[in-house]
Amino acid sequence: MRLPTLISALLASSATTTLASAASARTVAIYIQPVAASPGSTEAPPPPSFLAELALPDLPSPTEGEGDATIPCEVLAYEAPDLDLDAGAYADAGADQQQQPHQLFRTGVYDPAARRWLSPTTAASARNFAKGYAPRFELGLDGDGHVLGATVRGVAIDAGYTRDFGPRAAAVVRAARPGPQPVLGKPVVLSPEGRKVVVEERTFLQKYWWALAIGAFLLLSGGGGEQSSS
Amino acid sequence: MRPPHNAPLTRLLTTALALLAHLPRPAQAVFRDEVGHTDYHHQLLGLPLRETTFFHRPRRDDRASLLYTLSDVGVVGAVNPGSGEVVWRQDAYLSPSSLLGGGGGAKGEEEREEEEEEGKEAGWGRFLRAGEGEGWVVSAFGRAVHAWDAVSGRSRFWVPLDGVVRDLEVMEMTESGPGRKDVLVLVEERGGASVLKRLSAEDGCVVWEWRELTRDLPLQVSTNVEKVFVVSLKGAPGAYNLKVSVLDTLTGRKLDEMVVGAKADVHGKEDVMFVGANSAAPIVAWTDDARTTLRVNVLGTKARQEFALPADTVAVEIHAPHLVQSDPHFLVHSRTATGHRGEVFHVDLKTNAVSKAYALPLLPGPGAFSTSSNGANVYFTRITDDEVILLSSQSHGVLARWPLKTGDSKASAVHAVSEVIKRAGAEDSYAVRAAAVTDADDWMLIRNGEAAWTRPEGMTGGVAATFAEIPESEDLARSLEQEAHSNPLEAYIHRVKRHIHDLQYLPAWLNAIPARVMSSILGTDVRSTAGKLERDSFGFHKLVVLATRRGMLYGLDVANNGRIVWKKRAFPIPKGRNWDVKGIQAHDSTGQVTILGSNDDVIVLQSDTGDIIEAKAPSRDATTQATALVDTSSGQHLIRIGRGGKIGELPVDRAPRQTVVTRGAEGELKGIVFVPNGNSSYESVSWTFSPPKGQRIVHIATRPAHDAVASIGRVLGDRRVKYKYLNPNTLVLAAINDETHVLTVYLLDTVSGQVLSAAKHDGVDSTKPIECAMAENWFVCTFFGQYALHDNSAQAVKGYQMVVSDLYESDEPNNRGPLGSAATASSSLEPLDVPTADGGVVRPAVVSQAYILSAPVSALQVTTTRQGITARQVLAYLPEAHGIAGLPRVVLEPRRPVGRDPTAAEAEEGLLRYQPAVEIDPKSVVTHERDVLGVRRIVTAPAVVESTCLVFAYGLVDIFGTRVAPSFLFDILGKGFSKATLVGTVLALLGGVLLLAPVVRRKQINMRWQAPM
Repeated sequence: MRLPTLISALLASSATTTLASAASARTVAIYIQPVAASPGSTEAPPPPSFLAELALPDLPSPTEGEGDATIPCEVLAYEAPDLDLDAGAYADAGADQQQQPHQLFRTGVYDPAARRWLSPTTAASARNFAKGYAPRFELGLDGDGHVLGATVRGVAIDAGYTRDFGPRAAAVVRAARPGPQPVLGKPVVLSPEGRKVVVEERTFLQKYWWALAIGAFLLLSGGGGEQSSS
Repeated sequence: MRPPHNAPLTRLLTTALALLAHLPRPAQAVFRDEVGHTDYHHQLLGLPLRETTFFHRPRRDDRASLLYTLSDVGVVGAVNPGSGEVVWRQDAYLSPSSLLGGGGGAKGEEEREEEEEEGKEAGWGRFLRAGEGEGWVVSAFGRAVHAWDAVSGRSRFWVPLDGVVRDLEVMEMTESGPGRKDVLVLVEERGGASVLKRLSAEDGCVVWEWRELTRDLPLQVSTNVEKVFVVSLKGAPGAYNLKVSVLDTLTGRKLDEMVVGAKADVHGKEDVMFVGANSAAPIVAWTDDARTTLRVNVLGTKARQEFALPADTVAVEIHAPHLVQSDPHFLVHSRTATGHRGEVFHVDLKTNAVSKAYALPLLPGPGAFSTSSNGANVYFTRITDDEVILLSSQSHGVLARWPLKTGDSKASAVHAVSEVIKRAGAEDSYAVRAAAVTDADDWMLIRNGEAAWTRPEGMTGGVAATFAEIPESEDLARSLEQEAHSNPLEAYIHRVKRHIHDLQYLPAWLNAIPARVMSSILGTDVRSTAGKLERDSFGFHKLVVLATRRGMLYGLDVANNGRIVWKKRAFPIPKGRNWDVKGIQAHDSTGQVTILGSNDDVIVLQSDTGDIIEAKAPSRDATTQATALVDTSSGQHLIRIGRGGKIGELPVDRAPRQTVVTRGAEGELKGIVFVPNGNSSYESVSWTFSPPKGQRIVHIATRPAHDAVASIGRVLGDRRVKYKYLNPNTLVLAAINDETHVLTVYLLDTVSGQVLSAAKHDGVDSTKPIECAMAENWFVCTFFGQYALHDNSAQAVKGYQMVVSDLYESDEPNNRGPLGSAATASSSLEPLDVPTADGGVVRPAVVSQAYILSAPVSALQVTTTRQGITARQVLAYLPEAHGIAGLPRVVLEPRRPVGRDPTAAEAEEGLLRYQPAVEIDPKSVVTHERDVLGVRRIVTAPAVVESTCLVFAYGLVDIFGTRVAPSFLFDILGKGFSKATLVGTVLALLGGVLLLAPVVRRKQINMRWQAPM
């Protein structure tokens, strides 16, 4: 499982770079919008603003697996959202786990021309864009390439890993996997008389390797004997 | 059991061997002696309809008759009029596809619901007829005619039809002598053609068929031995004329056709009251729209006679005998808003003139008339609010009169059928038994004015039910609350006072001790609460509150065989409408039950008495999409979700703290959070999810409200642990694409809206039931699939399947992955504090497996216990076997090793070798031999003892309840445990010790003295 995934991931990433360089049409624009207007005001929340543009890789043919395959994909553009993270509204967000609607943002694929969301949207806290976290994007795709959702999540930057503290966006794509199917037993093969035929599964080599080995041994040892006699 | 002392040794050995052979017998779901003790079943038929209920003698030479009915929920059955027990019953509903496929009624309940809706719109009738002296009854419902044996209820034949049945009659035959009768069925075909078929009563084959392609609405069929009359409506809606086609009985050839009455006489179908059946002079009667005049025509003539109806009449019914030899008399029953009256008319057979014979006085109440004929005599039985009156059709003299005694519950009859017996010998002595449907949705047999039995048929058509704890004494709860809120000194004084006050109960408590000890020794303590509403120490004694679509509410006592504690009509629901209950919640602290309906209606009632505390009647429009039980700062509340998934503004203290998931206007899922703004809070959409285009959401499952988890991990055989993904905010959503037949099962996080997992299944039949259930860290989905295997496309699978998926924190044991850190696992909205190699992907690891089921299942529910230590079962209704199966979670285990026997470690963990087929073991069917019809929903509740889960199943027809113990009763002593034997043994041993102790002591002392120096 691991090796094919790795190979497909490598293939996909190379495909992504080629696609991206060719300015492929398969890109998606991720937008971000606050869930609620800022505290105290009753106005509607501001319209979604641009967050990132991702290049969609080609999906490998789906295989039945236990987990979902993740494929890296390239972030073509990223604009850090203009969030007033230091303002009082967002302070000590982590201390109180009670969710505060004013700190929630939703993200998804958005069409600014038509002013509507093109994909399902997901919610995330504003803390994901705080200092010390790098945003990671995740696109869920179904088998036909429809976007099932775009998620952004901040991941703490390991200081030992990189010296770069700026927002480093990375993205992965996950595709829906085929569901499990019942694992059936071997079909029963009947002879024309209706008897059960035992189908031989081993190959010729598996069955007669010992005969071949003896033959080879005899051949080799026999050849040696002649030489010594002459 | 013990062999006698003189028995030979060999016999003793065989007995021991036989006992040994029986020891490893697999444990069964229900033991024989528990039947009727742990479980209960209300075998119901549904509310009988006036036109399809009658007394009938199933054997020609036997005077005993049975009571037959085809109910409003489509069940045809026979009831013993003496005892009220069901003799047989059958589901009269046959869907077209199951008929064409010949595969029985393997239809999804959902589809049946849909079709019933369609049927209601199309005005499907239900018909049940029996021929006098014949041993069969014939029913029609929807698009088929079905004949049943009257004694056994076995199917004789069924005939699928290409259209909707409009009427059904049994016709007397003349050509092959008396005794043989055939069936006439009037069908409206899809193209608008009216078809009358005469079916042979022997095998259902068509004797002749008459077809007419007009725009007319076929209405009813009638026959008077010589001719067959087909009555239809001709003209445009609002202004119809009655058209009567006269056919020959032998060939079905049209002899004549006539239009009765003046132009545009009939307003609509419902104005035609009655078309006389097999009486000597069948009539057709109809009224005008305002119910002021009754117009009567004797079939076969053109004349129309008019009679004025009493003023303020709102409804008219006509009662007439159905026998050819009976006098051609009929009774017109007219109802006003407050009372009812009757008028009896006679038809002159020679002149075909209709004349009024006499009138019966106006009496209060809706009243019920019924007809019974005995040879030429026709009797009318009138049931009023306080009397049963027997009349003859000849004159207005009262033959007999009985005061109505219905016991403690006051009920008035809505409609009835009756059987009159004139006692031989004594002149003018009559016995009447009448089966009446009352306004409390009961079916009651009244024998000479006294209620003989009552069947609670109103419990059919259940739409919501919940378990409720029996309320504790309210005083105690209140005083405890008072103590909690006052200062310590006051609270202490209050408590001392309360305890002094409680001393008065001490003598009674002391008196009860001997009885308690005795019952505890005799092992009868479980039933000690019999008859009383009192909590028991095992937690088995609870109430169930059931709401039905007809607007009735029932309180059932779970521990006493599902006895009806109380019943109440919540709201009067107009005929043809349903009470659409959207949410039901039991408050165990206050003992109240809140029910929210779709039309802005609310009812709050006391769970132990049924007293209504607060009620708001349904409005005209459906405003509510669903309800949700949410946590707020002022406790748990049931909130209403409006159409389009809108909730509206709520006060801050009633605003939910969690994200509420609703369905949007276009069917999408929305997560809604509440934003506080001053004293109120407004809703705001935090996330949305809609499946890709073409996919339709068919089912959504969430974890049950009570879902205790005993262990956060699963210990493997080698002592490593796989950690469960236990996210309470998840839901499973099944969406199907009707064109590609691909079913996608999504797992959503309901806080962030992320798709945690998605799995696709090919070749799924969207017309068959697709259902999911979820608990703990796993979910199951069932569907019907047909596809070739991925591994080997030469092999194909076709059948009902169940896919089970386990969610773990990571693929590897002993590794919690990024979910292990507390900060990350707490919320899916927050950033990850642990840098992960996997690009920040935080997903549960899904382990899935598919199984093929041997039978379709529906109404999935997972058992729940108090602490979640007990193994789980998936309870499912078997629509074809009419039972409820409990599928053990061990069988539905995704980690069962495939293609090999489990290793020692796996076997220790309890994994069995994978078998693709899951046979529904009859031993796992919790309903055992009971025939439980039409279950739509199963609810479960934990008991106090950990081993047991209470189960209640309800729906279209039956009510069933039981207790299940998936890991067996490990914390309760069984009935076989004899405390008396145990105590006796202990006492005997004590006696032995006391006797032997001095002997032993003396012996020891003697030994000391005698010991060699």
